[in-house]
Amino acid sequence: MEKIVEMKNIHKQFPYVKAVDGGQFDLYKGEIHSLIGENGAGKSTMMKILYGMYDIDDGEIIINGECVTDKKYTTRDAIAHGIGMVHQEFMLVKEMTVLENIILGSEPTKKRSRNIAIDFEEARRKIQYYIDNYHMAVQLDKKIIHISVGEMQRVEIIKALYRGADILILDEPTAVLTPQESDKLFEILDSMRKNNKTIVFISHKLKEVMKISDRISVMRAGKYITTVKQSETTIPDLAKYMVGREVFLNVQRTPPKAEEVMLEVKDLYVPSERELSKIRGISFTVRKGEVVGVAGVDGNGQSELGEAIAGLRRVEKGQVILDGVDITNKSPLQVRKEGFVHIPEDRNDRGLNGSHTFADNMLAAEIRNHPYSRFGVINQKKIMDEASIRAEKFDIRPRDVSNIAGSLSGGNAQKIVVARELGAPTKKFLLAAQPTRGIDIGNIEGIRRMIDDTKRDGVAVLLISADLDEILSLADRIIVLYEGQITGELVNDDNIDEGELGYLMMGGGRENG
Amino acid sequence: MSVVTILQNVFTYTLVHDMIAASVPIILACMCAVISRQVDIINIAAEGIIMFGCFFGVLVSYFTGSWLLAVLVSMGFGMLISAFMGWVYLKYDVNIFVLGLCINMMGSSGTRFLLQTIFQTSGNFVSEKVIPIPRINFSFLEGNPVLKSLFSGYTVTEWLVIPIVILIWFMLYKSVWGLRLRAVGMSEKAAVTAGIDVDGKKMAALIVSGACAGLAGAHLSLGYSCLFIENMSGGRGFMGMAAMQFGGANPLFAALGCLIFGLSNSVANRLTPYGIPNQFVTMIPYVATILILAGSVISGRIKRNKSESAIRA
Repeated sequence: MEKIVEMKNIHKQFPYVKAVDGGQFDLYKGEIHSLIGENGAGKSTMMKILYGMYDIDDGEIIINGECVTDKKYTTRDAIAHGIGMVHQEFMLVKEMTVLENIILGSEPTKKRSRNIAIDFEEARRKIQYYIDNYHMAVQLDKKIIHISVGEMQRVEIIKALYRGADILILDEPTAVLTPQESDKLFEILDSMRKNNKTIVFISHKLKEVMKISDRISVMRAGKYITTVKQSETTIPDLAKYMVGREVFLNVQRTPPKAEEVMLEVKDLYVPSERELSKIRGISFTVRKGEVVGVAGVDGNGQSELGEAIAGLRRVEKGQVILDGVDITNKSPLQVRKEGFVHIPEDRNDRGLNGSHTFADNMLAAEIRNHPYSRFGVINQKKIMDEASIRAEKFDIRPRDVSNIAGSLSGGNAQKIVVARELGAPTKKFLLAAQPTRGIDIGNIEGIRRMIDDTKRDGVAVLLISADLDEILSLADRIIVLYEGQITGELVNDDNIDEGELGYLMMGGGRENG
Repeated sequence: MSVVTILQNVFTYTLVHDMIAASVPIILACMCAVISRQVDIINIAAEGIIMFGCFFGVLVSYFTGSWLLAVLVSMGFGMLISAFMGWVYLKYDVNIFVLGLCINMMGSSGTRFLLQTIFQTSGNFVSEKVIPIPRINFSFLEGNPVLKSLFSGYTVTEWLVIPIVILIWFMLYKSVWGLRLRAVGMSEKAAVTAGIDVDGKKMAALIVSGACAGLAGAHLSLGYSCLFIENMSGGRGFMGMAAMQFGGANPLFAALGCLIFGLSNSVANRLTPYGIPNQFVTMIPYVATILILAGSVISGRIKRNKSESAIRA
């Protein structure tokens, strides 16, 4: 087999971190080569470098025998060398149609118009080839906002192929998919391999990596660790390479006590910009000392449900009752006054004020209360004292709470949010939305433990997560959301059937189709 | 005089001609706003560029005797101003709103300054040496006063507006250039990964929008009238922006919005002689702006609520 890409001794420094420190990677034509590592290990950075999105500080990239780093190497050059990339966060124009998105940047034109006008017919014909060849169903005339996440991913793949990609980089492609959708993706990847396309598969899910790869490279903390053949390694070996120690992500769950209902959601309808994310008539309860997990593929109404409960989104119909008090369409402040605490889904957008100190962030929800302020005058000392206690309790590093929150890594930033919410003295109900998204493994473990501790203290917890493993490790009961409706409810005991969960996440079991 | 007679005198067939004449400068200003909006830039500089366009139109026409050269210079000057804005905005990250504000203030005071320095006069400048943009008269329509009023007597630039609006629509929605331009405006990240030169597209959009505003200015001083008056842009740049909002940055719908402004302007002009206090009459275009904008916001909200609803279909 012929070596088509080689990256040697790559170095890349970002303002606060050395993202890649002596990275290396190579590709043979027609293989699926997985690049694995924890969050922050540098795998995405490494591949963004190959795709020309970042300059490198040092190192060499050779593509098809040509050293491309001799002069400036950009995304345009990468595309010209037949490299395509599907990013973790989709790079699609939401308000445009699937067709427009696919052709954007390399549009076929009508000759008669001196290549000014777009030839939409020719575009359709070209795209149809990829749809047929790889069995990737997409609806060309729908706008991106109206299609599912799985379909968006197929659009991204077609987009890359359409631009003539022979080498396709997929950054954590299964993170947003159900088990069934992932299997479908693997079939597509396999048929692409048969067509002599080369694929880079970035992941930290070892089961999938073992299933699909020919070779596997491991990165840890920006450094290259090793490259092994799939046939010559095992999952435990890979895990050890990846983490450098053995880890157990499954928090020992506290058994729930059957107590009275704390939160009741009755026949709830919530509007949304996306058709598939509209909540259409769901009802459930959360009891004291219980974690209810909301499982489902991203974009099936989880965010809308969370925002509606938190008072951040209008409820059209139905009721949310917290400890006997109707909090439907109440303001977030009023909802909080009823004992509601919230780890919001987007840490940077809603969770933290990046330009404030740790201390101000940690006490932001209580700043109106005595002793933190009196007659509108803030008592900075009391805030600093309490913040320091919480920094210790929630293991925030660095401990100095006068630091600015924006400088923190994902894990520690999230722990500040957790310290604010779980540190609150009076809390009855916790809404934890994607509490460990985008943070490193060590801190994932810590945050999950904190959520379990909160439950043990008798707080009712609603856990919304796209990470099925997280739900399985924390939740006592699981409800599955699909297109804004509940397709099933399962008790999370030793007999739970993950296949059934996946089936429910795909809309199986929904009444009236 | 009764209300009915007044209305009869105001709403005659000649109103159509007046409406179109009053709309054209607004439409050109509106195209400036439309194109910048498509790359997600709120460009408020139209007002200032129009003022420079007005002045340089009169200046060049006065000294060279060529209206065509005057129009081209005004457009060129508009492009120069917006290229400067783009350079400062894209390279040095200066707030585009503040920049627009500066251009507007300079447009008003700079032209007054130039008027005094070059023509040694203030307030306004009229001269027989200023050659206006020619009007096209169809002699075969002479016999029919209605058709003559409807189709005859427009300036070259007034006729040009139709192909200009259609061309801008075509370029935005049917061409490669426009698809990429709109992609930049809707999602910069997606555009970058598609290999599109984002800053280049923003610059291109600004330059084209500057040309439109410059043309609006030249037309205002050489086509709509044949003189220069201080602050003669009279809020047309902002009316154009309002119409852009009303039309959702689509040139065709936005141009329709401009016609409504043109109509209210000409109705206001015709009401002046009937003893209605001048303050009320001059208010009409602005009230129309507020009503149109409020209307488009409310209808947009109703539509959004309906499409987002989880209960209704």
